[in-house]
Formats: sequence, structure tokens, C-alpha cells
Amino acid sequence: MSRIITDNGVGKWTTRKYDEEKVSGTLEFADDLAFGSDLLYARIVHSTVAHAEIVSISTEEALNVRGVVKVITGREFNHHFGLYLMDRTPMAIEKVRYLGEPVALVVAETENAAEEGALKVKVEYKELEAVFDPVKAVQDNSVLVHPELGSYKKVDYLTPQPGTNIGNWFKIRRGNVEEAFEKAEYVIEELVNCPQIAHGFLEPYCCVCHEDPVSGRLTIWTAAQSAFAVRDILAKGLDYPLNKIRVIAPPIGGGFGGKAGMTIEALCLSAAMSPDLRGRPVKLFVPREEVLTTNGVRQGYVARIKLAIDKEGKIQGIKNTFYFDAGASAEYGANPVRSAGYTSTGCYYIPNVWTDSYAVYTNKPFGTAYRGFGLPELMGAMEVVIDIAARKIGMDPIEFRLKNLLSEGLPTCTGMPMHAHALDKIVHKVSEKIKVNTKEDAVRPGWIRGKGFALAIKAPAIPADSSSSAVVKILGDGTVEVLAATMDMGQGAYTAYAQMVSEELGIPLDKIRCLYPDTNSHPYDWQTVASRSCWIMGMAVKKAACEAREKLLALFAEYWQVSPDDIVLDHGLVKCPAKGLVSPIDEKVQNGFKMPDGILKGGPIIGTGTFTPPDIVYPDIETGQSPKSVVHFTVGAVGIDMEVDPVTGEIAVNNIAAGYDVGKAISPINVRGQIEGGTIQGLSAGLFEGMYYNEQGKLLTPDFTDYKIATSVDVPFNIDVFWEETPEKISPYGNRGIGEHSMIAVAPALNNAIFDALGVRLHSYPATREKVYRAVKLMKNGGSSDKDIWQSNFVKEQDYESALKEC
Amino acid sequence: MLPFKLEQPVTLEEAVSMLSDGADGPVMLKAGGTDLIPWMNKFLVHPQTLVDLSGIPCLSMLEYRPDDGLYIGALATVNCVAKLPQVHALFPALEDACLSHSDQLIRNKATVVGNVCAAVPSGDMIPALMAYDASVHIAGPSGETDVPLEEFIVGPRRTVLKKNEIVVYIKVPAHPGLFSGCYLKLGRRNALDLAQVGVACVVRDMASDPLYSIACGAVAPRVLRIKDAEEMLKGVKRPDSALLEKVAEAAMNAVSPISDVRASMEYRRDQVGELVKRAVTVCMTSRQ
Amino acid sequence: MSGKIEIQFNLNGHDEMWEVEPRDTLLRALRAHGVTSVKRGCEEGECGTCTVLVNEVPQKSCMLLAYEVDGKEVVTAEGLVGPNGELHPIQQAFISEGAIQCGFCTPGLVLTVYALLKENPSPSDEEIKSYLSGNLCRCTGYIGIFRAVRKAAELLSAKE
Repeated sequence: MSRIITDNGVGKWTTRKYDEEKVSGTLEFADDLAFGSDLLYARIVHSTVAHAEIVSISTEEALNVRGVVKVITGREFNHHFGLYLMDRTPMAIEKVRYLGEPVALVVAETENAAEEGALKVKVEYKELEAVFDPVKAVQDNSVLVHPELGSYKKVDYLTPQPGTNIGNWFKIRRGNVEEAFEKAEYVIEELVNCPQIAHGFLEPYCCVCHEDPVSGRLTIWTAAQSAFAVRDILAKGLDYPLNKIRVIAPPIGGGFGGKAGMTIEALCLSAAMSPDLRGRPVKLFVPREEVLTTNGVRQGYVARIKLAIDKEGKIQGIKNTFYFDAGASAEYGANPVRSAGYTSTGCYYIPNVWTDSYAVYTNKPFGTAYRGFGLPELMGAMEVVIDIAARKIGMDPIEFRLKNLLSEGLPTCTGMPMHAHALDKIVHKVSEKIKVNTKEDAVRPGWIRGKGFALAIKAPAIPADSSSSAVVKILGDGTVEVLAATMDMGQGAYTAYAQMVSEELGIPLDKIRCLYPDTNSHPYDWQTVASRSCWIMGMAVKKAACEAREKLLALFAEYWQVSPDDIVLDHGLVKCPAKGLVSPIDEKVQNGFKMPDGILKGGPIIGTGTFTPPDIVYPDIETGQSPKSVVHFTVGAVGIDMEVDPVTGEIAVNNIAAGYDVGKAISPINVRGQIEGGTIQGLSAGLFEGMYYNEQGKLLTPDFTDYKIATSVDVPFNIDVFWEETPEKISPYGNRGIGEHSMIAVAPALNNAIFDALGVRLHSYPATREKVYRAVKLMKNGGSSDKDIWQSNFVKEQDYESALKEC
Repeated sequence: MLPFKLEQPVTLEEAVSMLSDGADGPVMLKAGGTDLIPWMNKFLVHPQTLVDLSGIPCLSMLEYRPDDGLYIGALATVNCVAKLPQVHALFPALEDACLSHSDQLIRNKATVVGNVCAAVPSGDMIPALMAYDASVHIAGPSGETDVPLEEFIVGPRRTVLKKNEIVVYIKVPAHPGLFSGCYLKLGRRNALDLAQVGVACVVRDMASDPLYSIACGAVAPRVLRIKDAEEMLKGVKRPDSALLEKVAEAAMNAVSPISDVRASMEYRRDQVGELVKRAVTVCMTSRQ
Repeated sequence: MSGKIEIQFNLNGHDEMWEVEPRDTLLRALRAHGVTSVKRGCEEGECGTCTVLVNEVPQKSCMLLAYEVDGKEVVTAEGLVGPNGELHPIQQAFISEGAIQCGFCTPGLVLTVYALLKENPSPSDEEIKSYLSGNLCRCTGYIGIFRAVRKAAELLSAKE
């Protein structure tokens, strides 16, 4: 066996790729790219009504603004797009389905002119009745957001229900839940809801598109998580061949799912492909206050969970009803609904399962991928209901969880057996770190301290054919270039891949570069989502590195007339200790080796690798069962030690402990970063975040002035993160994903901490100060510890009991 | 933003005459610009002419004149006011208010006078200045006058300033009996947010005959002095919890909050009571 | 209506002479002249990605009009890098402490930290949190950034 020696292989703490460029400001994002003076600028005109027929669009005044060259409307670009369900057009055509939907695009020579022009487009509407409440939308078909739902192309495994507002319906039917409820010692049924929330990435959407006027080839520079997905979606929507669409993805300023799939590229193309503009590049920048209405957000949800629990405290049955508020499009949002559905027993083993998970259309901005993809929503409800149930039956909430834990070998809700994991170890560690069962006095005088706990679980939510490929090139100067079309948006993928290559080739980390995606040069990768990249693309990168290594060893072996097993790759040098030979990796690996027999052999060394998950079987459409519904799960737990000002409702977090079983931490600095970042994003969502509308469906929280996210003063100075490593079998190094998981359990842990502190249960997110204050007031006025703060955004008069019946 | 004509006067008289000239279209003044420029960027206001005051030396004044008072010129930034030693020593409610305004960066440009002239009901500078009986010094075509702050603001975003008048400075009078003061602000979060409720309390002459000033913001169309509460507290050195409850009730009865996306009127009303209690409690101890 | 104004100022150690419109914010003027480390995250003063130093004072450039820096010194993240590409200790600390993920907020944050440590070379935890409250970060959750400020304070005091 040849030996490989490196300091910065898999598992080592290293510095990160591209950090130097980021900290010195030289890394260019989409909005930073410079084009020539022929660049045109576009600005969107948004609808001012939620549901209406477009009667007329008057562009005359806009065209009179000096510098405006064209105004494009929906009719001129009649194409449907969608990753899973093609229900979306870049601009409204004939009808608008939400307030803020793009209805026109103003194109001008300068950005100032485009902005001015956008103010001057006049649209006349004939208003239609709108539906904003997802529960109402699913029960009442009098207002249909997509009457043509039956005509949209889709993937096989989605089940939209034409004639209704149901964009997708995922089911699980296993065993006999009704019997379980009849036999149960305790039956607990609870509702939890959450409004839509925003990704909050700091870089707004930005895209430049160009069509070659002769060949029709499209070039797209865009802030996107997945260059190839943009290409695929555009190709299908435009009926264009893949090879005529080039997508270049510069580094992005945060994605969190909001830059997954296709975002504004088709909209920009409506200008770039316009007959009189073709040949000129067009730049579309979406200012902050338009971000939430131009592309997607996280779906809101109303979740009803019913548990059947026996005398010993074992959960025998579960009935889940999830209404996901998908807004006006389910093209991507149909899938978190599935992801929540096929994980709908959470971290627990429950023999009898009935789940209905719906994507419901409403006349609001639409949902898309969001970190956690259905699991923060599911666990936001489930981990609260589990806490309620434990207390109702008189068992410690953590003991209750451990008693029902989905251990290795037990079936998940889809029937797939759970693999090995360290969740019970993590539970114990988290509990200890925040001393969850010790009642402590508040640090702040007059405040009340509480501790809360919640579990996290998620599998990569991917189709069965989610493939990746990579190329590893060894250059004539001994450095390596890796072409892997993952978007390193800060999660550190390129550092991880470089560590893998260093591990396999013995070349120092600083001599290995990963290049940002370009569909012209990189081989195919499905998407940078689902926490799949270190795992799926990691397999491809490892294979490519190993292939390059084998070629390198074979060439040197022949060159030196030794066995490849006698060769050592040591910090970028090739050595044969037995013969005392040392060589740098130099031009020979580029131009060829002059072998002892005088023949030139070799040529540039390139390694390639591809990988696709081999054995995913889609859950049965009727029962949701499958022997292998997902590839694997990452599990974890969060404990929060917080305190609350009982009068103002202000919450301060003393400490958070968070641990996950990551299989193997390829790049520890990045694993730490992902856990820290996701934990705070979850905390911010739990404390502050929600999208609210007025009666006309106008978003009242469009920008950072009113959509508040956590600042530096809202977080603890440090938090306690850790990981366990139970290796994953099919994996480059035993690793599983971690990018999304740290967001999942935080908000419910906070909810449980608030209950621990105040004895009141919030049934809706976020836990704003005002909501906490109302909870305390309710308690003071004789509410029982069981009494609930239920806040529906839409049905103002609906109390908890009636909502429980209606939902 | 839309184009405008920029005027950069170097004297007060020049600035006033620019405002009086009946320019074609709206004329707006710029000091710090931290409200104005974002509003213009988002097309919420459209001045045809912008009169930038930053070239007028007398407006940069920021000084404390002993036995007279603190003079805050129109261009004095929030951070500069907060850092003035006399503000820390003598006007702690004002220091609190400054440090609760926006964030560290914005405070380097935003002006105290600008915050007052914007007259937003939740403006953080207003309650403290009102509790210190501040007055506003105005320059116009017919000369200069002083208006008490309480009379200066007449409604949401409305002051008595005429189109051709400029605020030169705000004066916070010196007072030998200043004992303590604070400003408490409640928002959705602790940084860069508009106040849901803002309460300033100032106590004078604690040793002899205590006099309380209490001003509340974000709970009425204009910042209010709660005279009933001030009456109840007059002469009391250490209000007990029963009195504090009555004081809180007086505040809750005096205000008329609205419900909006930031807070409901019920929450605002209850919290103004709570914050008044807390502010008075803080002021029982000297912060001078 | 709005004639162009000529402004002269010092940018990262170099004297510049630019023609700008009165309505050009400093943010847009900088970016139009290739200083793209200064980002436009919201253009309403809420995110801090547009932070610059003007005469050593950190400001949000989306709230400044370009003509206002006439005669002044402006520093952006590029300006903290030494003549031979040496990173400033604050920049080094950001890298070593895992304070960077997507990098969009980083240039602005580095400048705010620079101003903080100049004013207050050994800030408390609360002082650090409060000083940075005008710069949003969505990726790191601030935890790594706090580590970086502590480390930078150490490195800077060691230099003296």
C-alpha cells in the first residue's frame, strides 16, 4: 500500500478557502461583476393587489423617462417553470396571484432610469376574491389560486389535486391509528402554527443575462446555489437544449435555500431574449424590499398532531395533519411538504402512523427551499407536542423522549430501519451542559429562568437521481484544481473538498484550489441543497482524487521502475524511500514522462468521479412506505438556558448547547461554523421572525426595518457546540450532512424553555415579547398552566378549541 | 433616487433665504441625512431642491455653558452628544436616549436635532429632551426665536417650523438641582429598532422638594408629559410600590397608543405603565 | 437639473478625483468606481454591509451622499491590507477564528471592528456586542465574530 502523508487531510482544523479574498474585499459577488457600457439595467414592477385579472398595463409614461428602452410584460414571455411542478411564470400573465407578483420589467440604460421608469408603469386590475388563510384555502374551493393545476407538468412523485388549492399531498398510512387511539391510556391532540419566514441572506438577488443574437446561446451570471439546476429548469421552461445555456455562478452572499433552484433568471431572460434587446447583457438587481415578493420564503404552517400513549409511556400511534402555506407557487415548496411527511414520526419509534402533509396554495408570496426543508416546521410542532405530552402523563420530558427513541433497527415512519447513531449520548451531553433538570435563579434581577430541550432529525431531501460529478486536475506546478460545481456559499465545501484531495494525494492544502461553478467547465452537479454536498459530491471528489492518484503512482512507478506500493506521497513530494528517490510533482505530470525505454508516456493527469445514491426507493403514493426512503439521517439535540422578563416579555439566552451526529467531521472549522450559524438562525426565528400582512394581502414586513433578525446584541457571547461521529456506511469518509440540521430544534427548545420558566405554552411562533407578555397576563388572570397562546394570522376570532376542530 | 438641485449654503442667512425663495417644487433640509437619504432611495420623498446645512459653522455647535445650559447645534451627531462629559454627568436621560438610538454606525451621522424635527411619535431623543424642559431655537427670515420643545411638536411628523425656518440649536437648560434621569426604551429587539414605548424620567431637587418630569413616546400622536403622574410624585423622595402603581395608572390613562405591525395598543399601554415605574425607580438613585 | 460635482478625496491612501451627481450615494459612487468590497445589502441603513470609514469614523455609506466626502479620507476593507498584501491583524483574526462564512458582511464588519478597537482596545463582551449591533450577519450567528474581536484585540496589543 502506498503511503500518503499530509498535515491537512480529512478531520483537521484548517483555515478556509477564499477567506483571504473575503476579508480583503476582493471576492466578487454577482453585483460586483463589471460589464461593458452596453449593459442594460432592469427593475421589476410589482402588483399592488393580491388576486386579480390584469386589465391593462400602460407603459407610455415609463417609456418617456430618459434612458428607458423597453418595458416587458408577462404576455411577451409566456413560459412556465418549476423544479418539481411547473406552476410558475416569471411575470404574471393575465392574472396576478399575490400582492407583489412581478407584472412588468422596465429596462433602461442606467439603473437610475430603470428605477424611475418602474415607478411610472400603470396597471389596471379587476380584483378577484383572494384567500390568505391556508386552512380556509384547503377546506374551501370557492377561491382557486391555480384553476389550471391539472395542466402543469410535474415529477411523478408529486400529487397535486386539481380543482382544489392542494399543490401536493403526501400520505403515510401504516398500521391502525384509530385502534391505537381507542386502546390508548392517554390521547393528546395539539395545534402549533408558524407564519412564513424569510431567509434573510444579506446579498439580494442579482443576475446578468445575455443572448447571442446569432446562435441564440444564453449566458447567465447569477447569484445561485445550483448553476446546473438553473440550466435544467430554464431548458425545460424555454424548451431550449442544455448545451445552449451557460450558467456562471459567482460566490453568493448567503443562500439558506432562498437561492436554490431558479430564482430571477427567467425574469431577467425575458429582457435579454427580447427581440430588440438581444445581444446586450441585461442586469436585474432586486432591492431588499422586493426580495420577499420576487422569489420564495419559508412556508408557513398549521400543524395538528395527535398522539396515542400507553400506560408505560410508549407512543403507540400518531396522527399528523400539516397544512403548509405554500403561497402562490408550489414549484419548489411541494417538496418540503414531502420531507416533513416522510420524517413525520420525528426521532421516535411509533408503530401506527397516519400522516397527511399538504402544500396549500394561497394568494401570498410563495414558499421555496429553506434551511431544514420541512423539518424545522415539523419539529417546531412535534417537539412542543412531545413536551406537552410528557408533562400531561407525568413523565420527565427527556425521559419520555429516550423511552420512545428511534434506535438502530427500529422502523421510521416509512418503514425504513433506522441506522446506528449517537442520539442518546447527545441527549445526555446536552442535558448536562445546560443542567436541564436543575432549577436555577435568573441572572437578571426580577427575571425568571427556564430550560428547554428539543431533538432534531433530517435526511437529505433529494430525488433518487440526485447526482454529482467532479474533476481533479494536477497542474505542472504541483498544485491541484478541483472542478466541483457545489456552491461554496460559506458552508466551507471547497475547504472540505481540498482536505479530501489532500488526504488522497498528500498535497498540501494551500496547493489545492476549488473553482466556482461554470456549466461550461464543470461537470454536472444536481444542487447545493439538502446538506448533500460533502456526502454526494464528496464521493465524486474522492473518486476523482483517487483516480488521479492512481495515474500519478502508475507513471512514477514505471518512471522509477518500482512498485506503486513502494511510493510515498509526502507533502507534495513523490518519494521512493527504498531507492532514495525524491521528486516534486512538476511538469512531467503535465507534458508526460520520458520513460526508461525512451517512450514518452502520460500527458496531463486528470481524475474524474461521479456518484449517485444507489438505492433510494420513493415512498408508495398511498402508504408512504419504502424500504429505503432516504439515504440516512443526521440527528441531534439542542438545550437552551434562558430567562425572561415577566412583564415586558423580553427573553435573554444564557447559553445554548447543541450537538449532532455528523458521522465524520471532514472540516471541523466548518462543522463548528454550521452548527453555530444554524443555531442562531433558529434562535432568531424563534424570537423575532414572521411575515405579516394586512387585510388586502400586502406584506407589512418587506425589509429589515420591519422584518427583524438577530443582531449581535441578541445572542449569547458563546454557545456550546459539539458533535459525535458514528460513521455512515455509504460515504466518502463516514460523513453525513450538517448544514441544515442546526436550525431544526432551536425554536421548539425555546418554546419548551418558556414553558419551563413561566408555565404557559405558546402554540404559535415567534415568541415575541408581546406574545410572551400576553402569555404571562393570561396566567395571572387565572389561566391554567395548560392554557395556550394561540395566534392565527388570519382568522382573528378563532380560538384554540375551534381551530382544533377546524384544522 | 430622483435627481435634485443641491444647495450648500455657508451661512444661516443664506440657508434661510434659499428656503424663502419659493423654489419650484419641494425643498428639504439635510443635516445628517440618515432618515432623508434612505427615504429618497426608496422614493418615499422627492425634494426638488436639497439644502445641505453641513457647511454652516454655527450649526456645528455642541457645548455646555455652566449656569446656562447645553447647546446642541443642528449638526451635532447623536454619538458626539452621547460622548460629551457633561451629558454623562448632568443629563443621563439624554445619554441613555442617545445610546438607544439606532446603532453605533448610524449614530456617527444622525443628528439629535434631526430626530426632533422628524417628530416621529417614537423619536428617541424627544422624551428625554422634553423631560429636561428643552427649548428649540429657530432662525427665520424675520429673525430668531425660542420655542419650548413641548410646543414645538404639534402632531405626528408635524412641528411649528415654517417652510422657511431652520432649527439652529436645541438648548437643554442647566439646573442646580438635577439629581437623576434615565430613558428606558422597549422595542422588538434591543438594537436598531423604533421604540414600541419610550419613557424618560428626570428628578430635580431630590434633597429638598423632589420634582419629577416624566415624558412618554410612541404611545400617542406626540410625546407627552404625564402631568398627573408628576403631580402625584411631587415632594416624594422614595415613592413606594402603591404610589408607583398609581403613577403607572396615570400614565396608562394619559396615553392613546395605536396598534401597528410593531406592537398592539394594549401592549403599549401596559408597558408604558411598567416602564414609568421602572424609570422612577431608577431615578431614586443619583446618576449625576 | 443636477450638474455633476467634482469631488477630491483620499481613498485607501490614494488621492482620487471623481465626478459625481448630487444624488449619488457614497455607496453607489464607490461601487461604480470599482470599490466593490462595499456592498449593497439593503440601501436603507439596516444591514451594515456598506460600512466605510470616513476620517476614521465608521459610517453606513448608503446614508451618505458621495459629495459629502470631498476633502476627507475614506477607508474600505482593501485599505487595511499592507503594501505587500499583508493582512491586517483584524483580518487575520477573522480568518483564524472562523468569523467568515459567505463573506458578504465581512468587509463592513472588519471596518467596524477596526474602529471599535481603536476607540477601546480592550472592550468587554457587552461593549463588543453593542458596537457591532449595526452590522448584520446571517451565516455565522456572530459567535465566531466575537472570537475574532477578542483575538484581534490580543494581536493588536501584542504589536504594541
